[in-house]
Amino acid sequence: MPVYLRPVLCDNLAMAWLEVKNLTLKEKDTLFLSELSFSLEKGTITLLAGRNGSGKSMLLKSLKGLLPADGSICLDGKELKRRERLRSIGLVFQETALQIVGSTVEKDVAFGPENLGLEKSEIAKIVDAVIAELGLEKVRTKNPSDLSGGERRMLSIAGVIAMSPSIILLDEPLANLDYPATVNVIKTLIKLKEAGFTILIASHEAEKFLAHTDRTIIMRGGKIVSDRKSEDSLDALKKYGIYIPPKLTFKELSWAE
Amino acid sequence: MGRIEKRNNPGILFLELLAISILISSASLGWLGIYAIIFIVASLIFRRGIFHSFRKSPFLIVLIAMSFISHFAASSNWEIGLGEAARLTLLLAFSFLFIEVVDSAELASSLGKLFSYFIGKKAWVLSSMMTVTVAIIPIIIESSKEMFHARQSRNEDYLRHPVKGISNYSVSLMRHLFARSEEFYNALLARGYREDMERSAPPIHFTDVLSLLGVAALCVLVMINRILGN
Repeated sequence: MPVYLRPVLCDNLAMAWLEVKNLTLKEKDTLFLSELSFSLEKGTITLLAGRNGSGKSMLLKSLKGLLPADGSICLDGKELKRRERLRSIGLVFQETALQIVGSTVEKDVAFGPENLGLEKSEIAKIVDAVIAELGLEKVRTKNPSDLSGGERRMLSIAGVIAMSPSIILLDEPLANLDYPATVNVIKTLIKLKEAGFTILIASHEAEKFLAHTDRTIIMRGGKIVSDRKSEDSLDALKKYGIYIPPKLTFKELSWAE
Repeated sequence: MGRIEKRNNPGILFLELLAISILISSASLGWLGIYAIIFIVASLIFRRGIFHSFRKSPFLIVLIAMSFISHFAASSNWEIGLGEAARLTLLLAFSFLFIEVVDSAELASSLGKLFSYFIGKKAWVLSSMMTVTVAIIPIIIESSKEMFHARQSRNEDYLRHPVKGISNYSVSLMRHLFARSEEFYNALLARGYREDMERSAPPIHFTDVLSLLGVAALCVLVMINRILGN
């Protein structure tokens, strides 16, 4: 992956990359997120598992700065304001139709870098690199509405990658995808991790991601009920009603051949 | 980014359409014949037929016929009736050809680029608004259709209780669309949306300059003809 697409990596690899402290989201009398504290280490994939309505999407939107949550969010030791989070944290929405703006694939990928005010030559370089990395060359001049569900998902990821965020958040990235598209998305996420991106995936399809993630956070009712290494999370996932195929070990859950 | 096929600049085409529309609106029958020839040449250059557009909209054919009948009846002059009908037909034909050739998002960005030379960043704001509107319209149409079909599949009979059915549907649709619009806005924010940023716009080719000069020459010719005529 070209260097300019990689997030800016800091020297101390052991240091927590993103640190969330007491994140609370309340609207009138309803508490959506209750004093959440966790950290993400850089260059890792973390699975945010939980049943419907557990607050996963709310958490992602709060981290991104789209919802007005209280608490502190620090990146590499520095507290981020809302505007900084909008810039340095990338969010891939569950519904691709909402996130795609351009009339062609390459224009859509260019949309984010254009918003950052980059030079045209630099935008062209980024667009070429992202399209090549995510295997969208064949469809680069196509209208996004003519793409398959899997291609649209890759395009929505490409649009976020093009902005070189430090952290990528994905909300149900496998929603409505068939088996080959699912494998393609998982392989792409592994590739992004290897390139140095820190990734947080919110999904109720834990069985598809678990073997490829480093850490699993389980949410229930707006609270974190488990936060441990993914290989140690099988029992906790079962306990909180998240489907894991019975009789399969952690390694046997792999979806990437 | 350099692999987009070479095409005419939509902004220039828009300016040309505007100029030709003004010329057509005040043309005599003889000049309308010349504009018809220009239209045929243009549709041959772009290799686009527009007859299917008229065929798909029989309403427009009725409208053209009504234009002829009403003007003929008002003036008792078949030339005036024919002229008005021909004018409307040509305006529609040029507009259909324009729509066939131009991509709306590209039009927004190239107009933004063209007008930014005159009004600066405001042109990009207008261009972004156009782009976002173009992007959200299919979402709104799709949502409306899906909601309509979902209600139909639950045996909602709009004909039996039309007022109740349609008002219920409208209220639900509005609520749904507000929620969708908010999500869409969030998605734009998530991608760092800034309405005043310069967007990549289709380049202006030599053929664009040539065609613009052609239309300008036509305008000058019409003006000279009118001055001499008077």
